[in-house]
Amino acid sequence: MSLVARLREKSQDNILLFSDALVLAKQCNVDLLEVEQAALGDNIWPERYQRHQGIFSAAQQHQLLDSTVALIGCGGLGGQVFEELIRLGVGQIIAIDPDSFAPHNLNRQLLCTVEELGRFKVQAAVRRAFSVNPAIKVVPLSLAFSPVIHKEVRQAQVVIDCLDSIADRHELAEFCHASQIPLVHGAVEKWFGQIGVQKETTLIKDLYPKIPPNDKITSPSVLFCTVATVASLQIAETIKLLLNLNSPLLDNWKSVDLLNCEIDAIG
Amino acid sequence: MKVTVKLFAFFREGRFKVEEREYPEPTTVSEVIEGLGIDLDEIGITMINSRHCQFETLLKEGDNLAIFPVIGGG
Repeated sequence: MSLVARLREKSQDNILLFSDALVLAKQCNVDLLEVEQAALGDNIWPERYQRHQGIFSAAQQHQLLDSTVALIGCGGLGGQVFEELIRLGVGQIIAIDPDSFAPHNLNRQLLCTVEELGRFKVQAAVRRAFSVNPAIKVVPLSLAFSPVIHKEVRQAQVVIDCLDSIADRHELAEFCHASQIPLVHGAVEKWFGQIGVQKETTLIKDLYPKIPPNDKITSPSVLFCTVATVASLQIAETIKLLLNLNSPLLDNWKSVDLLNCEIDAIG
Repeated sequence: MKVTVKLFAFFREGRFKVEEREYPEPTTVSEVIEGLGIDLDEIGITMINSRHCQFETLLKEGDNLAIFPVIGGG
């Protein structure tokens, strides 16, 4: 019996239970991702995405599962972005970060737990995906963004900037511009942040016209609520890019102030 | 001349969000910034009437000057 025929047999009211998806993957000797893609292709919703109905069509959820995103930085913003990507159902995530976790990451970095201290951030991401959404394929690269990994990053439909250095952001933005890959930018400090999308312009160069003298030396203080807010705005923009939905943030940016509860347009 | 100065993010701490301020002519953007006790190295973007401007740009009566810090954390 074909996978689709089994899916039709197992599903009820166009919903495929998570437990049945796991059984089918084993019985048919295919990945869980393949089962979920086949289900959505037949307008059957995997149970884990049931509450996306009415927001996305089955075809759009399928499109997300077919997508590849490159996440540059898996610390504060990157940890929260990663969590939302795996719950959203972005099928493949190239996770890039050269660092391992230290205790001062515990206040704001979602992937950092006491158990993960001393371990590579990208490996923590792999473990997190396995425990939250084992269908997602994570490509962990414990390296800094550099030409060595350009080939891997070029696979992505969207690149998400969760870096913490202006010089690295310049390099990433130039690469994305040259490769014609949209870049979702986020940055945070204290109660404040910014979010923007570079698609056709040189937005990042405009935002950071020069590299500050203390770049890569000082690490700003930041609250988890700021990180989570800016990361969630980055995810909202990522969804729109992956599904070709319009956004006022294309080649634009906004300033976020949680102390005054404001998201400001420029000027 | 009157200039409306808008500060963003942590530049607001201990200062203000928006204020109409009086400056002598000529006054440059960098003179306004330094007059507020802000180090020029901390500046990300400055805009006059929603358009990018330089530190040496001269302000005019009625201008809206927006000053954003560099925010670089991730």
